Order: sequence, then structure tokens, then C-alpha cells
Amino acid sequence: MDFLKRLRRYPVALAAGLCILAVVLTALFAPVLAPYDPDEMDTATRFAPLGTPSHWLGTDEFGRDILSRIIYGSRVSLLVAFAAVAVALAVGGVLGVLAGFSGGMVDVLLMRLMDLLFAIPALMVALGVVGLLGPSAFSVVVALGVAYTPLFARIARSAVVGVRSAAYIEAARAMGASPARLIRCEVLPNILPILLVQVTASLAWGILDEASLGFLGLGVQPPTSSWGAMLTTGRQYMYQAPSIALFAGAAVLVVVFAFNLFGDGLRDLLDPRSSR
Amino acid sequence: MPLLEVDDLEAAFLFADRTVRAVNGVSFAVEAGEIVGLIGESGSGKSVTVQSILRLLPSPGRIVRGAIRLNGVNLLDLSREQMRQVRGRRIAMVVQDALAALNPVIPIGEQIADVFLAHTRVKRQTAWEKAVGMLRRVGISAAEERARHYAHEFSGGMQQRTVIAAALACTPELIIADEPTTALDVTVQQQILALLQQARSELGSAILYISHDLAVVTHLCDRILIMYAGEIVEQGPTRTLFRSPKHPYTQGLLASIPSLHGDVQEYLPAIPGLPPNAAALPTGCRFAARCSFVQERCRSHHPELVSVDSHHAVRCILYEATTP
Amino acid sequence: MLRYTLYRLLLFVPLLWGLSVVVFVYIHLIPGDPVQAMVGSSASQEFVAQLREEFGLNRPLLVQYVDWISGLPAGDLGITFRSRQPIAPLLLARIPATLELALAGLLIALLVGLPSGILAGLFKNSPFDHLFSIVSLAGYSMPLFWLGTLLMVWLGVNWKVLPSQGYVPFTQDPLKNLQYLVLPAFSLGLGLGPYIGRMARAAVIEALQEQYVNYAHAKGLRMRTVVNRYVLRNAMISLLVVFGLNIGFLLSGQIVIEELFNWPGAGRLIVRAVLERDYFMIQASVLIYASIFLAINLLVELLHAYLDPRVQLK
Ligand SMILES: Nc1ncnc2c1ncn2[C@@H]1O[C@H](COP(=O)(O)OP(=O)(O)OP(=O)(O)O)[C@@H](O)[C@H]1O
Ligand code: SF4
Ligand SMILES: [Mg+2]
Repeated sequence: MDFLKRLRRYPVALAAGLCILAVVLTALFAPVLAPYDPDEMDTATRFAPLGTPSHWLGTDEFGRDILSRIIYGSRVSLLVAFAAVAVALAVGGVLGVLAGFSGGMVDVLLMRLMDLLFAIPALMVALGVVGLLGPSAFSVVVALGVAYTPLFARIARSAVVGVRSAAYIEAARAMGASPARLIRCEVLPNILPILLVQVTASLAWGILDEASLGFLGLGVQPPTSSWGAMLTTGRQYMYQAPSIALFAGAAVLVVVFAFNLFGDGLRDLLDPRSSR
Repeated sequence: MPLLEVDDLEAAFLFADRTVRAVNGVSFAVEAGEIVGLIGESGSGKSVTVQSILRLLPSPGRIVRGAIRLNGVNLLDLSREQMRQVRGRRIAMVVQDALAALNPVIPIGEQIADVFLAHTRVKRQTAWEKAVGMLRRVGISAAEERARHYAHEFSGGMQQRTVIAAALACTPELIIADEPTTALDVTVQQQILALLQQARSELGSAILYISHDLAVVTHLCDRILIMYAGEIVEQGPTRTLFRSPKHPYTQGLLASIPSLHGDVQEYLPAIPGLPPNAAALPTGCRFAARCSFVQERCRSHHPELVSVDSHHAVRCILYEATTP
Repeated sequence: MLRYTLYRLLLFVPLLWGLSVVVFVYIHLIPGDPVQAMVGSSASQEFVAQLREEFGLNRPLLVQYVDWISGLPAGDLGITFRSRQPIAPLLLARIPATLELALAGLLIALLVGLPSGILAGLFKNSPFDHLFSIVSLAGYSMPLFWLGTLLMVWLGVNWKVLPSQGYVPFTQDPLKNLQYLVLPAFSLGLGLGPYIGRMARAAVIEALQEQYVNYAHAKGLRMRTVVNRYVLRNAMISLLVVFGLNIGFLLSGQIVIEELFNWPGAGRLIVRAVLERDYFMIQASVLIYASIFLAINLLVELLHAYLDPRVQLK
């Protein structure tokens, strides 16, 4: 893999990539890694402080192990973020390709709509969608999916328009190649780098926005452990158990930072003009 | 002592994985009041030579070797501030894309006034008045009014006049014009060339005129340098060069001019083939791959620039008197 | 300039109208019946019908829309679903607090982000730039409410330097008002600062690559002149445009910070409306928020036209 070889010249991005991998593995193997069941309550050990031998990060208001809740919380964060980006990629991709291939009025209308949606901050769009569907993980996925759609629609459209005008496409079309084939063979390879960078950046946003919504009480509902929700409860018990909010926030920060670093490195790496 | 003396200049772009050797061992001189043409096709290193003279090479460009002397003083030894005082005052620059060279959000007049403010001790108001005077001098009518306009409100020819006005502002000893007419149509081209000639006759400025088009410079230049792949391959007085071009590349260039006096719009593809990649130059003659006189030895032996006449030199084994 | 301003203002009217339609339609996107959604599925049919009657939801859509929009110019935004209070005074009462926080946060963000971003851009690839890139990326990745929580706990709760939550109107006690403002404003400002810093850096780097900067050096201008008049002037104009496009980020950060510090701004009102599923309140506050958003954008555009001579051309 040429890509992996080149990645080695970007140690920061590589480290960030490994960090992401570690988080993904943590989410996958949460039951193995977490010392406790995240929902297991133990009223005897409420608000155990940081550094308690049996509970390294302490316990929360119900005596639940904070470390275990953070480990399980990674599942919600990653799942919601990945699902939201997948929705945005699918919907945005289809809309962008549609706009690009059909041109004319369809193109103008679709892209104006995307511009409008893009102008509204993601959190606002999410507020609207959650207002419609009620707070839940599903709503958050739909909300963020909708909010990120214009990003991918734009990329897809510009790629299609760029390729459509190329002479060899005309030739391929004349020879009876189907649009689906054109997209797979001509459009996709061209935009893969930008798409990859955009996906990484969107994942970072997704995790942040999920946590924000969770914090506002509009995300995943208790008792499911999510980082955003932990921050809300953590705030109420700031005196008794500061580590709830502290570590939940730190988890968000680390993961988002890793995604952003990786995305930055990826952009440099995939930039044909990069001189390194 | 010549006004400008470029001595064995070597400039390169140092990337981590490759070195682009843009200018290799270029030497030439420009006498006071002389107009010298530097000719070569795209990528031959003309602009890099100019940027080296002004010490404005974009990174990762470096002057690896050589000296650039202005009245005997090596510019490479000057401090930053001393160098700044050379630019715009003693050596001024005229560029190809005047619109891009003008700040879009500052009125034209102020951009010329900036030159006076940078090099002379004048008040802003005086600088402005002088700037208006410069605009008038390069033939812009209603200069007071026009000075307040922005670059995008000017025509291409007027933009180029503005740049020339800024260049002439401090009566420079040398004007370097890097393809100043390439973007303009033929009638405007003639006007700009006339302006430059006027600058020489009125201010006594020497001009280093860069172009990829031999035809344009015939009437302007006293002397011509032909550049190929980062080297000077032939140099001599304009007339000599036209009468008896020695280097196969020069001969090819001349042959591609439809008629010396006819219209120059018709741009024939000069010589088949492409110049070598500056990151991987061949060992022998750099023109070998395109030369119709190529010999076996051309591919291994790198020819020196040798005099064939008193002011006429060429870099080709056909003229190297003795073979070592 | 005057003509351009009038032209943009004129364009603003249909934009507002379009917005009102979108916001009005929004409530009818609710799966099923909005009233049913608000009162819950356990409510009886008669009760729902009675409420529909009360809020005029059984009339034809067009009539409802005309009724709704004709109240807007007079400042009638309808009444809330739960408490049957008029919405406009409720929202209006929250505007000063929201505005105060937004401006203070923006000011801090600019003070933090602009100088550091500009310096990093001017000295691209210097040690400072590398430091800036890492720190700003970390700041950019930090959840706003987390930063706020940390500040609140350390400065507010532990050290008791500043009041950590709440609000006192400026008119009531200016000093107290400012004390309460410090933590939320810094949380917002420090959260947005890296964002602005990164935009500023990008704008400066872009401007530095322009030919007119290179040509300014070729004219022998002093470094100071080149940076101020050629680099920064252009960079700040493009930053203004980017900033206008990203103003929504400020607005969303604001909501979170208001919630965290119990700041009685309009943002919290929206969150409460969403949690209570009070569609009339959502409708009204989204309309107001979006209009403010559009108005700021208009302002940015006018400012842009004023600063950049190329804009008014078309
Ligand atoms: N900023 C740069 N970075 C890397 N390589 C460069 C840079 N500027 C010039 N070069 C390389 O240096 C060589 C000479 O370029 P130069 O711009 O001097 O050509 P030129 O003769 O002025 O051509 P043109 O007629 O197109 O202006 C080319 O191989 C070019 O690729
Ligand atoms: S040295 Fe050889 S290849 Fe080069 S120009 Fe002379 S004859 Fe041609
Ligand atoms: Mg050039």
C-alpha cells in the first residue's frame, strides 16, 4: 500500500490514526474492556473519588463506574457519528450526482436548497429535527445526517460536473456506458481524496455535535451512557464527582482532536501539490 | 564596469525529494543605458533569473552559487534593508500580469505613491501628486481622476501603464521587464514597447527585457541572450544574432518567425520536442534531444559557452575550437 | 454605495418572506398531528379537537398562514402552547442578555484569534505557527461546554473568584452584570477563538501568495507597508466573508453556553421549547433566530461591499 507508506512520513497523522483505531476497538470490545456493567448501580459506593482502587475514575450519583460508562459511551458517540456521516454521504452523494448529471432547473433548485441548508448551523438544524422527532439516538442521526448533507452534495456535484464535460466521458456515454458505471469508474476515483478528508472532518463534527445535543438533553436519553449526557449529569454533581464531566469531556476532546489531526494530515498527504 | 553583472548564477528549488535546477551557471552583463533581451521558451529559467537578481525567489528557491553585482556591489552581500532600497529605486520591475500585480483594494494612485513613500522622504500628499504626475507621464488621461480608481476599472493596457509608472517612479538605473506585453493585444504591445524605449532615452535607464518571442524584441534590444534549460546558449548583438545565428536552437527560433516585419500573431510551433525536466537534467548538451545536428559526443559532453566573434558567444560543440 | 445598499435591502424582503414560509411549513412536517404530538398520544380525541379549534389549526392552511404572517409586522408572534402566553414579549425580554453575551464572546474570540492567527499566517511554518496549529486544532476540537465547565469549576466554584451561574441585568447593577458575564463570555470566546484564528491564518496565507504582495516587495516597499496595506487589508476582507458564512457557529455556541451558565438568553428558550415540544414557540424563535442570522449576513455583505471596491460592480 503506497498510501500507508506515505502515511509514515506524517507521524502526527499516523499517531492520530492509531488513536482513532484504538477508540474504535474500545467501542467494539467495550464488554471485554469495561471493568463493570455501565448500568450496574451500587448505592454503597456513590460518588467514589478519583483513584479508588476498585473504580479508577470513581463512581457517579448511582454508584455506577465512570470508566465503564465512558468506555460504553464511545459506542454511542462513534455509532451516531458514523451513522450520521453515512446518511449525509448517501443522501448528499445521490443529490449531488443527480444535480450534476441532470443540470438545468433540477441542478439550480437542488443546489440552492443545499446552500440554504448549509447556511443554517448544524446545531440549529438538529434542534429543528429533534423538535419534530423527539429526542433519541435516531433523531440525532437524522438531524446531523441532514445537516451534513450539503457538504457531500457539493463535492459530488462538482466532481460530476467536472467529469461530465470531459471529452472522454462523452465518448464513453456514446459507447453506451451507464451513468452508474461512469460514476464508479470515472467520478469516484477522482473525488475519493476530498471525500475521505470530508468524511474525517465530518466525523469530528459529528462527535462534537452529538455531545452538544446530549449536553442539551436532546440526544441519547438516560440511562444509556453517552458522553454528552454524562456532561449534563456531571455538571449537576460538579462538587461531589468532578470526574464525571471532566473525563467525559476529555474523551470527546481526545477523539475529536484525533479525527481533526488525522483529517489535516490526510489533506496534506493527498494534496498533489504538497512539497514534502 | 557594467551596470549589472550576473556572474555564474546558480538557482534551484530545493524540495525534500528532488531539486529543480532552474538556473545553472548563468553569466551576463547589462551596460548602463543598454537594452538587453533575454529570450527562451517557457520554463527555461528567465523568471527565476529575474527573481534571483531582486532576491525575491519564492521558497523553496535558493541562490546556490554566484554573484549579482550592481555597479560592482554584490547584491547578495547586502542586508535586507539595503536590498529593499535597491528594489524599486535602482532596479525596478515590470511584470506580465499587471492586474494580478496591482492590489485590488487600494486606489491605483496610492500604489504608485507607495513607491515614493518607500524610497524618498516626502509627505503623503506630495507622494500622491507625484504619483498623478507619473500616471500622466505614461499617457493616462484625466490622471487626477484616474488615480482614484481601482485596478479592475482599468483596461489591460492602462493596468500595464500603471505598473510602468510605478517602475519609473524613482528613475531606476535598470528596469527589468518580464514579458510585459504577452497579455496584451498587438497595438497596445507597440505602445508599451514605445513607453519603455522612451524611458531609456529620457531617463537613461537600462532595460533587461524578457520574452519568449524573438520577433517582439528585434527592434527594441541592442543585445540578445538566448536561454535554454537554465543556461545561456547564445548571446550577441541583435543584428549579429539575426544575421548569423550559431546555435541550432537559435536557428530554430528564428526559422519559426514567419516574417521579421510581418505580423507576429501567427505563432508557429518553434521546434519539435520539449525541454528537459529541470529536476533531471541530462549530462551532455541539454538541447541534444531536439537538435537536428546532434552527434554522439553531444550526449556525454556538456559544451562550454565559447566566443565565436568579439561579442558573440555560443554553447555548442560545433563551435568548440579544440576538443580536449 | 447607497444604491447598492438599497438594492441589498430590497433583496432582503423576499428572503424574509421565504423564511416565513419555511418556518410555517415546518410545523406541518411533524409526523401525524402537531397537537397530538404536543399533548402526547394518551390524550383523548375530543381534547385534541378542542385544542385544534382553540389554536385555529383546523382552518385551511392558507388562512392560517395569512393570519400568522399578518400578525408579524405588528410584533405578534402568537402564543405559547403550554402557558398560553404571548411569545413576542417573552423573546424580547431575552434579547439583551443574548446580545450582550454574543458580543462579549465575539470580542474575546477576535482578541484571541485574530492576532495569533495572523502571526501564524505571516510566519508560516515557523515554530510559532506549528504551536498555533496544534493549540488551535485542540481548541477547535474541544467541546464548548466542557471548556465552560472547567472554567466554571476552577474559577467559579473552587476559587470563588467569579459568580459561576446566573445573570443580573445591566440596568440593575452594572458591576454585577459584568461579573456574571465574565465566565460565559470567556467560555464562548475561548471556544470560538481557535476557529477565528484558523480562518485568519488561512486568509493571510492566501493573501501572501498573491502576486501583488510579491510585486509590492519588488517595488521596495517597507515590510510594514507590505503587511498592513497589501497583505492584511486583503486578508481581512476575505476573512470577513468567511466569517459571515460561519456566523452560525457563533449562534450555536451561544445556545450551549447559555444553557451551561443558566444565562437567560433566547437560546435557552429554544432549547426549552424543543424539550417541551412547544411548536408555536419553536416556530417563533426559529423565525427570530434565522432573521437575526440573515440580518447579520446582510450587514457583513454591506461591510464587504464598502471595503472591497470590486463588489459593487454587478
Ligand atoms: N516557485 C517555484 N517552485 C518550483 N519550481 C519553480 C518555481 N518557479 C519556477 N520553477 C521552475 O523553475 C524553472 C524555470 O521557471 P521560470 O519561471 O524561470 O521559467 P520562465 O523561463 O520564466 O518561463 P515562462 O516563459 O513560462 O515565464 C521551471 O522548471 C519551473 O518549473
Ligand atoms: S552540442 Fe550537439 S546537441 Fe547541443 S546544440 Fe550543439 S550540436 Fe546540437
Ligand atoms: Mg516567466
